[in-house]
Amino acid sequence: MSTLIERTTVTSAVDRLGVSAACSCEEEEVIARAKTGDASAWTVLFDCYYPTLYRYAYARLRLREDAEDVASQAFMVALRGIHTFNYRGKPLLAWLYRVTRNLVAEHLRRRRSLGETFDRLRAGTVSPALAAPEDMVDAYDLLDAVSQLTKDQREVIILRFLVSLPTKQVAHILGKKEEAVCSLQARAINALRRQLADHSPLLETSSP
Amino acid sequence: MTANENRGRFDLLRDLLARSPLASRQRKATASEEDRAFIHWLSTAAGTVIPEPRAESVRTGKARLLDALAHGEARDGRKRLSRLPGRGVAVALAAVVLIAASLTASAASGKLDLMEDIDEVLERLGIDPVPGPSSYQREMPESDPPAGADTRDLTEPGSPELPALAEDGDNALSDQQDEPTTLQGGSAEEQSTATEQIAVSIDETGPSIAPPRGQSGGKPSSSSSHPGGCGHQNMAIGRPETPAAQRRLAPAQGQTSPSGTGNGEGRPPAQRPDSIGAERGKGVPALPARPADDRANRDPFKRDSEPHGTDYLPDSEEVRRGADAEPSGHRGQEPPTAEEGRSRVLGERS
Repeated sequence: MSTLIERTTVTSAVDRLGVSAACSCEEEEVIARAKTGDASAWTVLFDCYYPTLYRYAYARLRLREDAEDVASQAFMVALRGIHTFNYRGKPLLAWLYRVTRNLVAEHLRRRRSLGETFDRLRAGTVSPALAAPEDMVDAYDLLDAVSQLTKDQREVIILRFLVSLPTKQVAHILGKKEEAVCSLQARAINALRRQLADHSPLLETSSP
Repeated sequence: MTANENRGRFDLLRDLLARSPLASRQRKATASEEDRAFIHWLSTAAGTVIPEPRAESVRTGKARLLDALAHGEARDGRKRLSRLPGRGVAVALAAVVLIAASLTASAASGKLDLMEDIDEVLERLGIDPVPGPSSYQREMPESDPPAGADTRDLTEPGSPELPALAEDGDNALSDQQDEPTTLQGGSAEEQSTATEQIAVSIDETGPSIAPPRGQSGGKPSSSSSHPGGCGHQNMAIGRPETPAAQRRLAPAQGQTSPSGTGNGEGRPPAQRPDSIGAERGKGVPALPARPADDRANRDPFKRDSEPHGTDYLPDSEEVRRGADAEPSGHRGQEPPTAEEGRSRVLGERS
């Protein structure tokens, strides 16, 4: 039940962040209240953005626990640095995304220094939706293929398809034009298709 | 028209159509369909790839956030950020002060001569060093010092300092050891006055505190800045052999310092114990003190023209004779009078 509520919250958050002007004004007001230390404003921000940040962190880290920790830590960092954020039309998610991306990079560096292997990642928790072994293989192949893309292509694919953000929002977050995001997305999809052509039965069936 | 000809025309037409813009658009449409299918698969797979976060983890994260907010984490973070530059500046200032203090201490003790170091660097770079006090000091051995002048470098560690010893006004021995400089230089009135002062001090204190000949200046502790000073063993050159001699070295009346041993072990001097103690043990009187940075301001030509005052450095032999003459009251010899001292100095100088 709680999962359903959270899923609805994610959807509503993503929809609201879509880009309507009214939503932007609301976000600005929430940010202003958050700067004053308003607990309700922080609760709203947490409910709206935690799932998004978690999904991004999971797409990069591939471990649920690590992704949850990073998403929570991102809000702690935001709490300490919210006074440095000046709202200039860009959504707060863009700022939170940069915070989360830095935390993920730091986490990956620490993981590399600890010598974690890919076996531990494969032994990590997987979604119940991936019960079938072939689906699990597909999922890990997809994440492997995404990780082999260039940095910009990887970010576009993650934000567009794994985090389910619209193109305009992705352009805002990455600081690029929408055309550039579309171009990156097209090149990334071609690269993914080449890498996954031998593994995904869905691709074979969907081909004409 | 044969069948082969028709087939050839058909192939030609097919090739033309294949190269036409229409065919290109059709191929692009086909590709976009493939992309759409892939994107559809990608969206579906991506939706199932990422598991939902655990509810308890979400609650924990939110509780941590609100708890930190309740404890004023945001305000503390703002304070911390605003406090950081202040701390950095304070640490930097403290470091600068420490470095400056250490450099000053090194320069004062003679271990560091910044001007000489700079001159050496300039010489290595092929630049003529600016003539200054340090250059003058290097050229000192080549110049002609005044007759009887002590050419010892007072910047060496161990150079005695008069002011510290002059504070021991109740100690006739220290006064005696410091006085010869005044005797050697200065005007006739000054010399006469100094001689009288020495005689008075000897008369007041008596020979009891004067060390026997050859013994160290085991100075009883008095108003020195080293209240607990007991002579360093390495500097104790002479120890009274008889109890009577030990009694003579006992603190004079009115000297209430409990730390004064009075047994000839030799209290370390106020400063530079390694040199002054040794000088005292040999009976060499203390040389006039000169601040370490005074040489930078001193006129190098003033020494030849004005040999009196604290700049005048008595000859070591002369100093030794003067030291031998000082405790003359103790040894039964008369101290040199002002006229004798003046004639001796002028005679040696000429």
